[in-house]
Amino acid sequence: MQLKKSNPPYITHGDSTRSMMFNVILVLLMLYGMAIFFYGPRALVLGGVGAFSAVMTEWLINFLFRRIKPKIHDLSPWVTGLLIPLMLPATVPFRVPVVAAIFGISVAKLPFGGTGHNVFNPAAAGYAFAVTSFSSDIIFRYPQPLTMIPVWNTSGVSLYPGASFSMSIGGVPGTGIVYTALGNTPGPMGATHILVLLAGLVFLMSRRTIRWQIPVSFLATTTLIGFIFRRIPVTRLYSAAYENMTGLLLFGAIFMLGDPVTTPKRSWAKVAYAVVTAIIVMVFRHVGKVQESFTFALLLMNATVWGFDMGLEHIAKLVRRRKYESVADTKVS
Amino acid sequence: MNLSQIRRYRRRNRTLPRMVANNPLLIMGLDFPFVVVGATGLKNAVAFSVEMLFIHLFTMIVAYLIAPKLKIWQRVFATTIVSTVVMVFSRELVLMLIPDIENYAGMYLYLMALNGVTLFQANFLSKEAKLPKVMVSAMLNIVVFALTMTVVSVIREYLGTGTLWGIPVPSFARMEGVRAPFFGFILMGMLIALGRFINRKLTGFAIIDNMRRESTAAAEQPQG
Repeated sequence: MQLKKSNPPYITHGDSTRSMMFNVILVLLMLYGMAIFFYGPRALVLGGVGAFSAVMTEWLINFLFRRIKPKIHDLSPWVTGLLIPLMLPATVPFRVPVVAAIFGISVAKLPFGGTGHNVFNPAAAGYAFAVTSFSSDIIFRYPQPLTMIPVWNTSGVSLYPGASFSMSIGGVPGTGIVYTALGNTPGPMGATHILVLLAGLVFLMSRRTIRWQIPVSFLATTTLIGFIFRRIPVTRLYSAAYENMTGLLLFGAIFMLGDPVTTPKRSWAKVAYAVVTAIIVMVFRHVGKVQESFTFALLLMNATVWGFDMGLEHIAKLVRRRKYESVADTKVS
Repeated sequence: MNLSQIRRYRRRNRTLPRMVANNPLLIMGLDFPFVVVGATGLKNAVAFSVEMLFIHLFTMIVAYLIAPKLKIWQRVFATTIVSTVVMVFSRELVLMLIPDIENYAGMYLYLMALNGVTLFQANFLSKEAKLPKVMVSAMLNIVVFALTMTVVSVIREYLGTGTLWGIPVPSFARMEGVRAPFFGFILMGMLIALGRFINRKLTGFAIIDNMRRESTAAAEQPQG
C-alpha cells in the first residue's frame, strides 16, 4: 500500500477542500437569506464586512511573512468571515465582526500553519474573543425578528435578551416552541433558523462535507441530557427540544464542531469527541455564567483532539492484534 | 564552506540576538506572570521596569561576589534575601514616581522580589564569571524586560481602555478582553515568535551574504 503524507482535512471521496468550503458557503448564504428576510440588508453588510476582514487578514499575513503564496481563491477564510456575523445580533457594531475575524485568522489559524493545520476553530476563537472583549449588551441583546434595521445607525432599535438568557435563569422562552423552530425569536442572526439549519445539515451530510458521526452523536447527547436534566419547568420532551433549538448549539454543531480540520480522524474517535463535547456544553449551560458557552466548550475540546486520535488509534491497534491472534490460534488448533 | 563572514556578521550583530533570541525572558519563559498578568498599563510597565533595574542589578552583583564562596542551595537563600531587601527600597522609589501604582500593579509589585530572571541567573552564575560580562548581561536582561513590558502594556492599555498612561486617546474599539491574562499569553507568544523571526533573518542574511561573497570571489578568480 502506498502511503501519502498530506495535511487535513483528509478527504476520501471525489471532493476537494475548495468544493467542501463552497458547500458550507452555500448553506451560509441560505442563512444570510433568512437573516435579510428577518432583519433587512444590514445582515448582508455585516457578512460582507466579516468576510472581507477575514480574507484580507489572511492575505496580508501570508504576504508579509511569505510563508505560502497568498491565495484569494482559498475559501476557508471566507467561511470564517461569514460564520462570525451569523453568531452575533443583527445590530452589532461593524467593529465587532472585524475584530473577531482578525483575531480568528491572525491568532487561531495562521500561527499554527494556516488552512489544514489550525488546532482551534478560527470562527469559534474569534467569537470567544468578541464575547470576552465587548460588553454583553452588544453581544447578547438581540433585535425583534421582522424589524428592518438601518444599516448605519442602530441606536433606535429595541433590543431584547435571547432565549438562552431566559433558559439560563430558569424561564421558558416567551415565543413558544413553534416560533423558536421557525426562527421568529430574538437571537443570533443566523442561529435561530432551526429548520433551515436542519436542511443545511442534511445537505452537508449528503455531500459528505461533514461526517454524520459528529452532529448526530452531539445532538443525541444534548437531547438526552436535556431530557434527563431539565433547566426549565416544561415537559422533558420540550426541555430537550428547547436545549437544542436555543443559542448557538445547533449552529455550532453543524458549522464549527463538524469542521474536518479540528476533529479526530477515526469514526469512533469522532463519536467519542462529539459525546464529550456535548457533555461539556451542557455542563457549561447548567453551571456556567456566560450565555453562549458553546464556543468555549468547543475551544476546550479542540485542544484535546490529538488525545482522542491517539487513544482510539491505540484501542484500534489492540483490537486488530486480538483479531490476528485469534485467527492464528484457530489455524494452529 | 568559509564561515568567517558569518562569524563576523554575528559578532557585529551580537547585541540584538542576545537581547531578543538568547534572552531568558523570551526564550525560557521566566517572568511570564509579570508580563501576562501585570502588564496591563504603561504605569505598571514603568513600575516593574524600575524595580527590575534595582533588583536585578544589585542581586547580580551580590551573586557575583558570593558565587565562589557559597554552594548553590546557600546562594538561593542569600540571593532571595538580597532581592527582597532591594525590592523594599525600590518599591518606595516607585511609589514616589507613581503614587497610585499599588492600585494597578497590586501584589505583583512585591512579587518582583522573586522574579524568575533574577533568581535563575543569580543562582546559576558561573564561579568563573567576570564582573563586566555579568553586568552587561544583567543590563541586557533589564532592557529586554523593560521593552517587553512596555510593548505589551501599551498594546493592552490602548486596546483595552483606550488610554495611555491613564490619558484618553482616540481609539478604534475598546476591548476589555485584551486586559485578560489570555491575551497577555498571546502577545507574549507573538513577541517570542518575532524574536525568533529576527534571529532567523539575521542568520539567513549572513549565510546569503557569505554565499554571495564566495561566488563573487570564485568568478573573479583567473581561469586556468
